[in-house]
Amino acid sequence: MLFPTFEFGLFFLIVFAVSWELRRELSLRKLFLVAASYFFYGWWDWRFLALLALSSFINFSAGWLVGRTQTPLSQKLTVGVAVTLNLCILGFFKYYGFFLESLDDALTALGLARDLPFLHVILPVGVSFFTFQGISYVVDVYRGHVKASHSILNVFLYISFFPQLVAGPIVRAAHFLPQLDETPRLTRAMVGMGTVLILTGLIKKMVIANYLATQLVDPIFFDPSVRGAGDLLIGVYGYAVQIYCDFSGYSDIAIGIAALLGYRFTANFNQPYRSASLQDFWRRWHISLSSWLRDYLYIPLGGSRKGSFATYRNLFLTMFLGGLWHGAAWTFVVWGTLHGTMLGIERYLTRRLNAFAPKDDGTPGIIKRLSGSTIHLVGIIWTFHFVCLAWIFFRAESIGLAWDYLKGFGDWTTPNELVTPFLVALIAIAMLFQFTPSRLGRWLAEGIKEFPSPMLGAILGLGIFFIWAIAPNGVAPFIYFQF
Amino acid sequence: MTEEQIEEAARATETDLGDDGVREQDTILEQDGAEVGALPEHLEFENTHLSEGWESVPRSYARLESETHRTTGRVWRAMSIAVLILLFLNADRLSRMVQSLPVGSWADTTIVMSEAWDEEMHKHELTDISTTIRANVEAFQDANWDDVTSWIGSVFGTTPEPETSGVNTDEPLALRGSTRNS
Repeated sequence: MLFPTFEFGLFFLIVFAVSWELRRELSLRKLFLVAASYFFYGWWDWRFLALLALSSFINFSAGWLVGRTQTPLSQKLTVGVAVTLNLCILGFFKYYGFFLESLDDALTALGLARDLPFLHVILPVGVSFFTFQGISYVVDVYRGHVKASHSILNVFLYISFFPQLVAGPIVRAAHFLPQLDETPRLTRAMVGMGTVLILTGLIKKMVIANYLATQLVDPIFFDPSVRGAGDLLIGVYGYAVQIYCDFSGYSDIAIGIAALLGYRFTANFNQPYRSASLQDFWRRWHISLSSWLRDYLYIPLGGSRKGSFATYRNLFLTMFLGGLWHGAAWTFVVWGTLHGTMLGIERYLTRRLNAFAPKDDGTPGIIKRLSGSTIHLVGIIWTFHFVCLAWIFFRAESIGLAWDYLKGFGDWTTPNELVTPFLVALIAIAMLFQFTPSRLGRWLAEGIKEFPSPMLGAILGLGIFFIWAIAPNGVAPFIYFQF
Repeated sequence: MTEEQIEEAARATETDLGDDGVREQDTILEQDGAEVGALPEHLEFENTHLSEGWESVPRSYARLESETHRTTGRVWRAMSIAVLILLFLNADRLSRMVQSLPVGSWADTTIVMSEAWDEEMHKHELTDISTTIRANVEAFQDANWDDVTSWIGSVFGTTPEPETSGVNTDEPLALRGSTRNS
């Protein structure tokens, strides 16, 4: 069930009405929300409901065991088993085919071809997201960030709550579980923010991302070798905007829907293309994943505490595995490798330049002297273009197609067919909103929260009507569903 | 105790205890089916001394409860209005959207009803707004750079009409596009 559809609209109206009627019966409300979330998930493929329940049960049991046992060794053992089981689920559904295909290729190349047990494994929607949430719960209980839940309903709802179930944001147990024990509240501020987020999310997804996908990105990436450099350039800019609008649009709608049901999620994007460095980019892009990788991978690997070499290695490994998390394909491996390598280079260069800066004498160092507006602008342009370069590998179906794409930048003779005013305007408008005040959404929400219900209804109704009127027909699935 | 009573009690006690002081210690008394009133501030009550059938509710709880009650009603009314607007203005899109419902008698009935509704809205020309908006968007999609240049020229009166475009720039860009499409 996709958010911008008739089915979801009907589903949400029912969930909203019933869940608020049950607000004083916490357990009943949670039970209802779990049932609604399972219905939402089962709409795609009911067979995977058992997998979702199994994952939730494993994590609930592990958390309960960690909470009950006192010895650090048995706690560690429980966490280890739970994380392994979670990764086995993820690994089987996501990487089994990729692993066997790669092994088959390697054996064939070595002249040792064998019949391997290939299976047609269907990837369950959102498996990466609910697996990561499960791991987050068990590890947070072990670290003492959240108490082990004695309510199986709480853990089931935390893992399956429908707004974030299939494409995030990855909600932390320590942030979400305490909300489940409070009587849910709906304030005017939450309604204002929810309305703004839902409408902006719909514009991003239904208008900008859908037009760019169908009219620009898909045709170009289908066969980049027949395109000129101008088309290829606007194609990769278009994809940068498309993936941002697609994913942040989904996150906005998810956060908005959760707010209307009385729950608070943290932000997942913060104008990432205004970043002046790659490190800054990762603080603004898919924040819930990058902070998850930082807390559950980079820091356990040692972070920056074990010397320079270990720090660069940990940075690289984190981004490499982050790339692999996105999908079982070499293109994602290259994407992660590019980001990991460049983060290391950026860190090294920054440290070398900072070494010139005098310490504690009050005069600005070289970095401070260079960090004027011009350098900041150069940083933004450089970061954006590096991110775009990596997006080529992320989007291309194969390494070969990505290479064709890059080679095409040498051909400025082929006429451009897709550099149209409409597509350029879409990209320009989306990029413009990367540089607006970051509190713009909050200001709009502040205004909307004071409106009486007829005016709020008119904004919602006319807003959705206008979005539907200008959007292309049909709704494409969100890009991050495949992850 | 009904939601209205809680709401009324919260409103009444707000005036007694003033501004933003949401103090957990402050309580209001309530009784099922009875008139609910605020207590003078100087009186101190202990829960154990309350009469049978009375219970104490933290003031902050009552206030949040009343706000939640009011806000859910507000959202519910807003969503109803939004649905009405969409039913009237966007009937054609809705009738297309319901086509994707899973096969079944319920879906068939919904599809037939939505088509009948769409025809009715067409008769009353309520779908013209969305048709006009879409025509403008399609015209913009079809426009090339010459069209945009001549449109800007016609708006600001600065740029001469390019002879190569072969487009009558007296008409607005949207109209040209829609004419071409039709």
